[in-house]
Amino acid sequence: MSTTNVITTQNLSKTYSAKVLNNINLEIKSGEIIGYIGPNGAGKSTTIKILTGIIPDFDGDATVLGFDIRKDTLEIKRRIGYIPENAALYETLTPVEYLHFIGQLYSLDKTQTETKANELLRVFELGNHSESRMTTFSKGMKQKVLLIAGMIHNPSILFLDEPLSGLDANAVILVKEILTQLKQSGKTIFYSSHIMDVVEKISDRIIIINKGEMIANGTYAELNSQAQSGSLEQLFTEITGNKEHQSAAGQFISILGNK
Amino acid sequence: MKIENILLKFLDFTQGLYRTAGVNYEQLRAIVAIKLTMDNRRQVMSYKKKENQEPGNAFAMTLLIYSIFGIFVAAFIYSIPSVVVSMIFFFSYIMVMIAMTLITDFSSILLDTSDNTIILPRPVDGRTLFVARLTHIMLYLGQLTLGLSLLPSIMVGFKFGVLFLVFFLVALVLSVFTAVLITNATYLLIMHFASEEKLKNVINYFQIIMAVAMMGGYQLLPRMMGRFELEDYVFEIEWWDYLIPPIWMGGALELLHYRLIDTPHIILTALGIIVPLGGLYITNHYLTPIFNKKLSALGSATEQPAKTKEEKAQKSNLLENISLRVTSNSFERAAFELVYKILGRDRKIKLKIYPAVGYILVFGLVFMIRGKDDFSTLWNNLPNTEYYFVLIYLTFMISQVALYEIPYTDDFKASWFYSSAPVDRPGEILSGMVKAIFVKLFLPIYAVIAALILFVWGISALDDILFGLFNNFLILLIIATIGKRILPLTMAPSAKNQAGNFLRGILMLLCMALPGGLHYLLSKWPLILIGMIPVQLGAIYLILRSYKATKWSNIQF
Repeated sequence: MSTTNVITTQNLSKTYSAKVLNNINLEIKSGEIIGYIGPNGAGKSTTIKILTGIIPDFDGDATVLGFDIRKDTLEIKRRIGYIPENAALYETLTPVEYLHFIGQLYSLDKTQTETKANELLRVFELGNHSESRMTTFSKGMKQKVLLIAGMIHNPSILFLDEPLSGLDANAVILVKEILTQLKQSGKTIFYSSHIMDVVEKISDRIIIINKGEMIANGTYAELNSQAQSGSLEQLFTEITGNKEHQSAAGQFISILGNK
Repeated sequence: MKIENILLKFLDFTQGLYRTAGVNYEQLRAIVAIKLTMDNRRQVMSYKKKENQEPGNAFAMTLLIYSIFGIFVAAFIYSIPSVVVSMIFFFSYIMVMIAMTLITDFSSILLDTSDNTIILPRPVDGRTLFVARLTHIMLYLGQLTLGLSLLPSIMVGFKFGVLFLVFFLVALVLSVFTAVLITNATYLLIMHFASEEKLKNVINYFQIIMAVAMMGGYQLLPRMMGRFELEDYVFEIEWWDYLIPPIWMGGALELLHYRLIDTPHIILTALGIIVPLGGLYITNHYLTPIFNKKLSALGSATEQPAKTKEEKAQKSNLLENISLRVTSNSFERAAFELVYKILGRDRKIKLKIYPAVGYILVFGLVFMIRGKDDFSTLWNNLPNTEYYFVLIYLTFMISQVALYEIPYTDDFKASWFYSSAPVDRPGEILSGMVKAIFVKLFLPIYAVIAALILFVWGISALDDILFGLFNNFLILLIIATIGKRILPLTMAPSAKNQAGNFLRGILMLLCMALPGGLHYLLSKWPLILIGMIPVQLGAIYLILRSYKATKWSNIQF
């Protein structure tokens, strides 16, 4: 496996009205699966949006596949895939129409896209719905279409933002397996989530951010020995300093009994 | 062949133009094609037929309806002898329609942020995406203008000649630009000062106005037809005319038609040419970047500054005060407060109910305008008529529409709590609902109507206003009692029975006949009228009691 860096950032920062990312330094090697973890509002989505070229103005430097994000945005976009978090797609279209449209934006061959799309939909058990409009789809069904749309051009880096939300248990296992096999074929995967469960199992390395700062970076075992605790979830609560769950639950129960 | 395909063929003709401008034509075509497809599947708010019926060619439907409007407009142009008046009328019509459609049907596209997440991560450069959006809007407006002005244009060519028609078409294009500019500028202005939520509210009110304007135009235009024919109308230019865009176009065409070369006409013509073209330049170079920047900020969650606690407390105190006074127990109060708040907040429900306010206005005018008297004669004669009866009972429209619409909502699934909570007397919820409709919607409008009546007919109409007030509540109760009893916000909009509209109207008139007729008979004797008020209150009490006693078995689900 090659050891070249496919994603690097130096002092990556982003400020809206407040600072949402503060001096993030990443070095991600080809063929790695990175779990990018943090609570809501930690800056996960902002990082991904910068790395995929959606947010063009930021501070610091970043390169993807050796291209400077500011200068060669289109070159990068051609080679990466992005799966956004909140099921944004054109719902009035059918999955095949939508995927065909996406294929056109990458200048893919029309008939090839359509066969590919139909086969991928079939694998995801959406074969019977490939010609019906997505307005009627459940969240999980839309998420499957999004996953296909993000990968149909066979990208070498995949950015996933909460990719499993709404999927049923079987689909979750399927996606996990797909990601593992993608890694084996040399793809790099940048997986962002606030759910520990899956990340723990598939990631080579886990990066934890909180309030725009990177607070941990290492393999699960490394982080684990640092925190000396069993599950990643507990570790996560320890690292982000969120020990109040128990007392919050206690309060909740006692308020219910108030007269 | 579908309209979209024709448009795309047309686009293919101009692809050289796009390529020289440095745009990736294949991507642009794909984006425009997909947007046209989506336009056709989008529900067009104003002409929605059945909610559960998938619209196939919604946009073509709209065009057809606009073309039918075109017949009226063409007839109107034919009937007006004065060039300038007919042209001002036509260009007002075009500009208002374009601006209104942009705001109502197109704002969802203009403010669409899904492009940000769907197209931006793909290898599409910013220029191509921007030009694709622009092309899409241009194609949409092009079709719209064609639909609106095809018949009127033929009429213009027929009436004023071919040369005039050429100038007319140039003015048409310029006026469409002007309307787009004004809309754009308005959006920017609102977005500058208001949050996304506020903007949506503003758009909601425009949609309501649009619905009323359609109805009003349909009712009033034919009645106004006769007015300009007889008078030898001379158009004199006042200073404020320079501020009204349709008058620029009218003035310019008058200059060309009669070779009327004087200062006012030259100024009007110059404004008509310079403003749209100059505005286009300014929009392109300065406003569009600002607009796009604002737009990309729309999707990201901007926290709304919460209302100060005092403001909130005051508002909820007012509602609490009212609900404590008009309701008798906690079920009724809960229903009253829920319906009261929903009537003020839910955009879809507002869009269905609030146009009734406009209809009251329109019908108020329609019934008043009779014969060929002009408006001031009618107005001066008003105190001698018994027209206030019409006004008092016309106000009932709002209650009736609200009562009909309040059971239906897209969030009907949220009504599970009616069955899970221990509600033993659903009638209390119904009565709370009726009271909320009366207090929140009817009373404010009735107050305005009452003020108008007092102004025109004087203090002697006070007894009628009072009697009418209680009568209106009585009629609302009668209709609620006779009609289907459905709890508020529990039904899917698709469950609505459209066929019953005519019967519903007849039923309403019958229910109004007895109390209204009584009012009419007794109005000669104010003392008896006032003496009857306790009888009215008694009737209200009895009906309300039986309505409150409604059992679950009588409730429709």
